[in-house]
Amino acid sequence: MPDIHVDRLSFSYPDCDEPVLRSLDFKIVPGEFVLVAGASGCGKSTLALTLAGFIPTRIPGYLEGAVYFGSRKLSEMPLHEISQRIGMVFQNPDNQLIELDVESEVAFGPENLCLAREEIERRVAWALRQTGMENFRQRSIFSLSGGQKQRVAIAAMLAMRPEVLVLDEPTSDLDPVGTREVLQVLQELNHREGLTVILVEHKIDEVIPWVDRVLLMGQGQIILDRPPRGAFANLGLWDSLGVTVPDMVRVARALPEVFGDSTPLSVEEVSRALLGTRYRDALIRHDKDRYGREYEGDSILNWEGVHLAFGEVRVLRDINIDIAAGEWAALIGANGSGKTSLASLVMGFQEPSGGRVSCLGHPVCPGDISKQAGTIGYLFQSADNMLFGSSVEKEFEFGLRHRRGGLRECGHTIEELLEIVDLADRRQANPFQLSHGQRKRLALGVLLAVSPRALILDEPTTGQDEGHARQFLSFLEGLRREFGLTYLMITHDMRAVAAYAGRVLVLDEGELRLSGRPEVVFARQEELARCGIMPPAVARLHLALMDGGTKSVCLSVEEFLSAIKAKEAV
Amino acid sequence: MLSFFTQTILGRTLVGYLLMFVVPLILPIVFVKLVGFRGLRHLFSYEPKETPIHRLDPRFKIIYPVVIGILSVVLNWNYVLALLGLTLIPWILLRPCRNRVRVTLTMAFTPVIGMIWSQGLFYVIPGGSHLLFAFPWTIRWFGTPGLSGAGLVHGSHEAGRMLVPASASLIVLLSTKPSDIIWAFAKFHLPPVAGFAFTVALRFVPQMFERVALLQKAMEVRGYSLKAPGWREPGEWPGYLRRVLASIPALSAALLVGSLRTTSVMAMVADARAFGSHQARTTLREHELNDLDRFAWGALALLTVTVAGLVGFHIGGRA
Repeated sequence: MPDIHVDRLSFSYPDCDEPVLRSLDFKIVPGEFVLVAGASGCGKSTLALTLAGFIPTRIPGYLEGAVYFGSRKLSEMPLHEISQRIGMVFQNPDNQLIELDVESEVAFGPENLCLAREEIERRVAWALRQTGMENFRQRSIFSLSGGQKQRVAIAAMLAMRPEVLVLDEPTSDLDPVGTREVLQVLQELNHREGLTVILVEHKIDEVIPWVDRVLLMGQGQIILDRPPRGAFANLGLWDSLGVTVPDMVRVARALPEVFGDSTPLSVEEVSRALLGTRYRDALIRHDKDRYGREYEGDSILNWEGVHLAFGEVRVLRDINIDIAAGEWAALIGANGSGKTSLASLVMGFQEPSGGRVSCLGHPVCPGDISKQAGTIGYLFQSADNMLFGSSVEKEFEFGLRHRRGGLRECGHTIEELLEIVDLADRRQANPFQLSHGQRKRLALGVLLAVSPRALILDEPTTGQDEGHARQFLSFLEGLRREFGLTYLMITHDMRAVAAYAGRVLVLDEGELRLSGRPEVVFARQEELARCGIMPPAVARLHLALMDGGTKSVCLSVEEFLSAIKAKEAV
Repeated sequence: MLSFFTQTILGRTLVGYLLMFVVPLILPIVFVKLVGFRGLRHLFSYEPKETPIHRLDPRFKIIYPVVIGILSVVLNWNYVLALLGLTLIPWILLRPCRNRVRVTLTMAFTPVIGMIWSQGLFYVIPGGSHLLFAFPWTIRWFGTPGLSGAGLVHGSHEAGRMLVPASASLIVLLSTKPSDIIWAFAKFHLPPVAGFAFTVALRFVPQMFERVALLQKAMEVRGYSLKAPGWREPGEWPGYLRRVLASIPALSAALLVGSLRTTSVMAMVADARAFGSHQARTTLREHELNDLDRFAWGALALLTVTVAGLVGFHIGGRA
């Protein structure tokens, strides 16, 4: 099996002065599982597209150097030949599935290769078996969950029998269960079939235990190229790039007397090492008083005995939730558990089948979204869907001019809004020339124009690296404090929940299973597992050290360290 | 009361205005209320089911609307009506879901009503005896003498002629998997890319309508009211219509950008699956001709021969 040799590779897009990739030089040997990490915009996706042969064949630009597959230059190979050697899986499964059922989807590639029917059958069966999708063979694509769709996309690529699989953030739209499904499939393909896997991913905590090698990118260059246990020698480098450092690595670095120079990558490794130490004893002896204050403000958002059904399909069942003014509540659950439906009811997107939804004590009028927008803002997962103007200034004008009540109902001037979202210097810029974080802030700014009392944040950190995600969340926290806003955050990002939410609401199959402070809810690991939720790594470590016998867990590395060290001194 | 509307100039003017504007005003509202952008996905998407129509030879389902379309052109109105009745048989066998029936009927009958109405007003023949209602002089500026009975009949003929191929074509979309369409195109020795384009359209048209609904929602979340005012708020309607019109360019641009991005990924996916690398394709599933197919092909052939006979003998042809 040939290796991949990236030889002094540089690339820039036609409309961009700065190169996106700068003189990259590395080799990937057959059977390696390589993680490509880095901040948003550092060139990871461009590298993935180059490794899969789409650059420069399909995406034009200025390319220097070359990528070799064995002795052959990729840029000189036809794409259909490359695709039988190197497969590519993209971020959004919905955009990469062509057919309407699983079998046809997986068969599509081999059919294009004009293979004999028996061979196509063999490949389809094999690919579905490898991805654990053989029981879904006749299922419609639309009936699959996000994780299952991504597994079908992987199976469709595997049916081309590639030797290398390149994946560009394949789990970014997936819940923890879907993420685990996809990563397990990749691990098994790598171990069992010897498939080379090149994975571009932000969820480093989840991936790191399984990879052989980490390529850390920054500004188009490979800054670090090490095995995972050697990759975190310089945490400052990772922090300066704003890329996630696994919590377990941080714990180990803070306890050199236990871990020495070794770098544990999983919760199991760290808990094994800490078992029998005084740290664990300290944690057990003083396992108490970690409860925070419950919010007791006036109710802002309220669901009372709410049901929602579409024909036979019951989406929400008997939901009773009260969100207090000033609260930051997180709504978590597996894909399809009803999170977005629940939040959408309070925005008036649809009418509940039963029960009462109210906002500031008034019933929500279904369908009258613009009226509701005067009280609640809804920040979409993709801020791009909320932007319609040709400049930042026009974006604000567009919303203000056409909104119900017009300019007179606007609580701020455009200048004030630009200051609030820190875009005053980008007033004339095209929204699509802004960074991802800036676009999110712009979308937030247009929502703030009427001084809403509450904001629904739909996956505010998806697709962002750790640094940008935390930056945006901290910006939101500042706004909350300054304007007394209430947040309902729909998310799969458990670290964000642990860091910012005051309350967690866990939905499972349309029912509210758990509700409480994060440190309490994350202590109920088994119930969370049944709901398809995995607590943050630190919480799992805490639970592992307590043999599951605690009612509240630490939510951050700092809290965990201060807990075990403070207790140690007692 | 009746004499007021038929005898007085004021009453006749009111009736005249009502006849002129009630249809063009009601049709968009009917469309929005009964279908909406999201509803359109029910019209252009495959509905997985186990029915005889689903099991039919995909080649037949491609040929069927073409043949029926041609027959509807050559036959006269009386026979077109019979042909329309025949095209409803597959729908009965298909038993589409209630949502789809609602959307399909609305989408089919909205232009039908529009066509009948416009022909009723503008299909002008010499003499005034065909007028069911003659417009008074106060309304002559509209350019038509009134509502014509002959025009309504002509409009319903034309609408029927339009419904026949529409009814036959939608059957293909509802009951044929994209892979079967590609297979059928290949069997007809048509370029695979034609089948692929058809497939991608089938796959993504529903998504496009979903995206329109999402963008509309995004606008409303920003306070942009797209909610139609009630009938008791006539003063709100100009503002509402202005907002709807102003939203169209913004929505279209956002939709275009989103669609181009999706298309770009889709093109790369097709490349990654070696689409177009060979002149021909093989297929995992091959449709084998069965008794049902033979019956369908036979029935279509019989229908074609019958129509040829009717036209040849100057019985059912158009004058």
